[in-house]
Amino acid sequence: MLGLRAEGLGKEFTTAGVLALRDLNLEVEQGGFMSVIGPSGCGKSTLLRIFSDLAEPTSGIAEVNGKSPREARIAREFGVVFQSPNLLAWRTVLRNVMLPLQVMGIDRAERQQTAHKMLDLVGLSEFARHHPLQLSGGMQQRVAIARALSMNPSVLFMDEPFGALDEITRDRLNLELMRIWSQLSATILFITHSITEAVLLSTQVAVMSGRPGHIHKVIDIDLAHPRTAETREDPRFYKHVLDVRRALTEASHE
Amino acid sequence: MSDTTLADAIQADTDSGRRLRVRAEIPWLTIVAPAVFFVAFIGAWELLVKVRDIHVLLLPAPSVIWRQFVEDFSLLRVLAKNTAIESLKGVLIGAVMAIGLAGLVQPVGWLNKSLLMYSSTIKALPIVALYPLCTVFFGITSAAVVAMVAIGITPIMYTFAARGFSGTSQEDDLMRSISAGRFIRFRFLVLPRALPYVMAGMKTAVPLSIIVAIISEYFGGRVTTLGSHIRRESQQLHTPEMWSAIVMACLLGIVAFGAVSLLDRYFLRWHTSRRDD
Repeated sequence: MLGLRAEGLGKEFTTAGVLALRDLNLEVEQGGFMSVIGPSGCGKSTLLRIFSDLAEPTSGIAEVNGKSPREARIAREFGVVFQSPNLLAWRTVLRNVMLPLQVMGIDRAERQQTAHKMLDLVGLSEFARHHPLQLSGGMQQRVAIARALSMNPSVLFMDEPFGALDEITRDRLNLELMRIWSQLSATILFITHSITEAVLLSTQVAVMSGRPGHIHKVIDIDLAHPRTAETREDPRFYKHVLDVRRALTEASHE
Repeated sequence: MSDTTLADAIQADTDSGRRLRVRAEIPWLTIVAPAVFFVAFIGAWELLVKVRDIHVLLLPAPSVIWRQFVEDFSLLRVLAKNTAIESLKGVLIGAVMAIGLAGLVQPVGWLNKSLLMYSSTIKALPIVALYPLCTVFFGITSAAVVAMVAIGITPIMYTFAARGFSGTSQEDDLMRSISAGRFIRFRFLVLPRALPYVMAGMKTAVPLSIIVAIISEYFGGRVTTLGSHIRRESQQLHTPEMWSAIVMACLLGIVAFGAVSLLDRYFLRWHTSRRDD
């Protein structure tokens, strides 16, 4: 069974008359980490929204763990990390992480325990009682990751989660995400604008081209795991970066 | 926040600099300047009355008003309490009606729009004109005053609550992604998201409620209230007594606004405005 599958996926925004996706095909192994990269407005986010059942495709099939996105959402098989942290400002960090568990009706003791574990995982245990606006942007996004992971999902959707952060914070969070991913066995679909980020994180990079959006090329990244800061100095890392860059240039001229 | 967690935060994140804002300055503009102005104003008033020898029935000196205020204090306190209870009842009834209505109507766009139009119309109405109507329904009673306050408060609170409830944000996507049902979404997201709007509404509504209550009392209401006391004293040309009641009315307004501000501070301690002030 595949973690994610899209076949002949199409999406038209009828009111705006925009064809966002056409005949998009994609497969991600269970436990795989796929980054999707492409020019602005090529439909990357639309693809993620369809997989996470926040948007309906107009044609084709999307599957998460062999189920429809809707079934997978109701079974709570995936978590979403959005571009902005989307934390509830009136809840403390801990209670934000507990939110999905609370919605699931899990009892108080257990959800507290799980939430503390998740905060440990993203290194924010000491900030459990803070309110989100007391934290920096990078810390807020780590809380959002902890929240998405609290349901113990087998699939994680991440829509440019580090896009608004500075380079240094982003680098650190990338490595942290690698560490977390190695501890879980989740399938990850990761939308990004950054080539180096895509190469560093992924087992596969899908390069999209736009208008209407489709997959231009899928590039396998055969760098060793675990990936660390040293991975960036590996000559093969640069080769992959060049490959992705070339594919991206082709995609934008297509 | 203790120093250790603050230090950790700096270490933990390079972009945390913006949370370090020291505000231990002398509150020059908010306290000292108004206080100086107040003293100067009272001094000028006292001087004017003394130098021009203005008659006490026309304009009593602040010192005379103060003496009268101290003398009448135990009476004024009772009057103010009664007025405060009337306003508070009116505010509670008005706010509950407005928030409840806004919450119920929020999913129905056209209904919400038409109610917003009505509430704008009512807000533009000189509501004192409605008081005779209220006395027709309730008689010259405390209930008539409470009804007036509720009528005055409801459209204001409705406007604020409707705006609070109608907001959408990316948190709606989050709620969907964790398959939160309608009721949970309302309780965990919609209601707290509307709270800053509700509190902003209360900051306008509560001082207004006291104004409406006193004016209504002035036109007839329970005898033991500030408004009817002011009317009685003015009819008998007891100018210092009138002024001391006005001082009490001012104090009541200030206390009411202070109480709402404290509630606001407590309920919205997580809010952005708490960080940037």
